[in-house]
Amino acid sequence: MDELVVTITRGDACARRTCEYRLPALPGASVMDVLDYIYENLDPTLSYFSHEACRQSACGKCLVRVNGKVCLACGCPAGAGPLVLEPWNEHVVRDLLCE
Amino acid sequence: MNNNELSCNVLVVGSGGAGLRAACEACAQGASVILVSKGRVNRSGATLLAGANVSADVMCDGASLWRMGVASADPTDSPERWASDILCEGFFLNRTDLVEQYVSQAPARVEELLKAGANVTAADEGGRQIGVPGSSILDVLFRKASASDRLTVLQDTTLCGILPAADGSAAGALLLDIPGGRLISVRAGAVVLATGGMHGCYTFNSGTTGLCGEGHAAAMRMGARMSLMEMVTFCPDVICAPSRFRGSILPYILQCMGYGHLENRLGEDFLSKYLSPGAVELALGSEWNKLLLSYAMYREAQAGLCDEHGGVRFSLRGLTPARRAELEETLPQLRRGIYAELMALHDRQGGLSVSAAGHYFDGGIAVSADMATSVPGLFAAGECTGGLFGANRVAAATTQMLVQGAQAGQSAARFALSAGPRTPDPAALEQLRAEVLAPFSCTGGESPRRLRSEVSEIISRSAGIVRCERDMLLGLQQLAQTDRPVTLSQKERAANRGWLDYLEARSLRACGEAILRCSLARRESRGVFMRSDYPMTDNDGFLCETVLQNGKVSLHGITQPAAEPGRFDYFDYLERVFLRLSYAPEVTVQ
Ligand SMILES: Cc1cc2nc3c(=O)[nH]c(=O)nc-3n(C[C@H](O)[C@H](O)[C@H](O)COP(=O)(O)OP(=O)(O)OC[C@H]3O[C@@H](n4cnc5c(N)ncnc54)[C@H](O)[C@@H]3O)c2cc1C
Repeated sequence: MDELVVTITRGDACARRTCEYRLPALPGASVMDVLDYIYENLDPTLSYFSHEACRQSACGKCLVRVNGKVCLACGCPAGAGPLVLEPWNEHVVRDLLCE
Repeated sequence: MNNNELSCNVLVVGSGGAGLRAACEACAQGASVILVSKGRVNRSGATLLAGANVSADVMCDGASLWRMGVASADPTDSPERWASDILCEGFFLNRTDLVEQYVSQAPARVEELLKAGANVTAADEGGRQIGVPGSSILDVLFRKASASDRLTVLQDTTLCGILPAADGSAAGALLLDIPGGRLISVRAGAVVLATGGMHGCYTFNSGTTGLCGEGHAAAMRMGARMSLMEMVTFCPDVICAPSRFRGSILPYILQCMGYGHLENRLGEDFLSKYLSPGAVELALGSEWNKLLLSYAMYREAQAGLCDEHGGVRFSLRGLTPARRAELEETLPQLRRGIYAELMALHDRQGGLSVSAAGHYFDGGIAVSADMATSVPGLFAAGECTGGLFGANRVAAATTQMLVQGAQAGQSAARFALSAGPRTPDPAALEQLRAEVLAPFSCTGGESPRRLRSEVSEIISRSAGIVRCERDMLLGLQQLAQTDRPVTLSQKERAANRGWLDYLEARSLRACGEAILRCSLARRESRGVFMRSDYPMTDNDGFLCETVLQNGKVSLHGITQPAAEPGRFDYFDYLERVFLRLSYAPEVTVQ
């Protein structure tokens, strides 16, 4: 089975660490879908913007750094990976959620 | 007083069109206002997505629009004619005082939107409407609201509950600052709920993720009267797969503009299997398409003729190159960003998998024309209210939020400024805090995420497009069983998604129970409300408002001379009522 490998920088602005997740390939998924999959199935402690998300590239709140480039998690295709996800700015609240 | 204890004259919860408009008005009346938004203050709620953020219809009677210089408007129209259409569209269950207020205040609200520089899209929208992207409405309102120094904004902050004074009136609210994990209690002279719809009740919906009926649930906990909670509008032609585009209503917008067709997994046209020729015409050529197409899609799914995603195919394949070019010219947004990708996907696949999604909530918190709820000090506006559109909304919800928002802001400010500061009952505050914090001290409970999904799966199954008693009773029973303890994996309060899942599940369960209880009481089919076990429209037995208060449903008869006595075949009656509309094309339906 195809596998998607996702590395996420976690923690707050002071203490960062990386976590690696392996999940089944998710055809047609966005980075937001990948984060939802991880939260729902692998790690319920993951934080990222999801509490009032439009999921249609309209609200502009779900910014993340994907493989070095800042983009909207909902608008960015996850593809076959691997994905390296980091907070998009320095004002990290927790994990991928930034101010 | 510290950051966790705030006070104001008027607390507005929700910053879609209704909340922003209410905040503007309350400030203008001289009130100090705290505006709370679960998401970004100028980019949240259904308002942002209205018209797929391409072109949302904003309506007003044609004569007034024409006076504003809209060339496509119908100068022979009038507010009275529009009101009579709205009653027919709502199958006569509308609250007439709300309809009157809607048509009479729409011109002022639309005109101020135009004057403030809303970005009117070029599309000719016909006799009673103009098109404005949802984000442009938010921009105009937010600009106006932020100009007042009486406004304080709290973003990324969610309503946990309303705080009652000792006499049971609304005296503030308990909020949660989501990133910071802080509970904030607000003392307010009046509270306006503008939290939008209950989209999260449905696993497949067209709203933003935060729309979970939390205003509805908070109002119900205060003992507020709810109206027509069974009325839920589904939007057909919502993308179901791939997941990246799931929930987008773009195909619906295209279909409303006359582009594209639907077919089942065998490539067959299926509408005529379930709809009479007259109803097919309405489904394809009128704004009554939401309920008719959703019904046909439901039947096609029952017949096992949907694709592996549960959808049918929406396709632009039949368009001539000239029509396709015309479409892209009318909607230049299709050539950029996410919509360009969607169009490319459509072209690769020859279509898009679409299905009917939970979309608009016609029922909600009962209000009078001054937007007061049955709880003193508590006001509501926009989609979280119920009654304006009766059993079927065709007229614009954007106009609803503007008209009701302005009214609620005014009424709440007057109430707060004359009643003075109020004090929440300390015992009630403590009880609410304990409830909100319960999952932090619970061990051995379940995952809040799983429970939240279970709740929306139950509601989706039992309170879908076509309902029946057996499913609904089972749904109620299953919902009651979801009231189980949850435990949080993350123990810190800051940015704790599990905690939000717990809070949302609690509201969704309350909303689902309300929808099911009211649906069970209505033993007929009418407008967007369809039952397989009671398929007739019954003006003798159910020309009434379903009212839910403190968990109990009562039926209140409506005197509406326009509604003829009798029991009718649902579809016959629908076509018959359609013919009475001022905009019914005379030749098409016999
Ligand atoms: C995809 C889509 C397309 C639509 N297109 C049209 C159209 O073309 N024409 C039309 O007339 N209508 C349309 N509608 C309906 C219309 O957009 C809505 O009815 C209307 O915008 C609702 O406005 P509102 O201010 O009442 O609620 P919303 O705009 O939904 O705003 C609700 C606000 O409350 C906040 N909120 C929710 N819960 C909480 C909480 N617990 N704590 C704090 N804040 C909270 C939200 O973050 C948001 O700010 C559409 C709806 C959708 C979903």
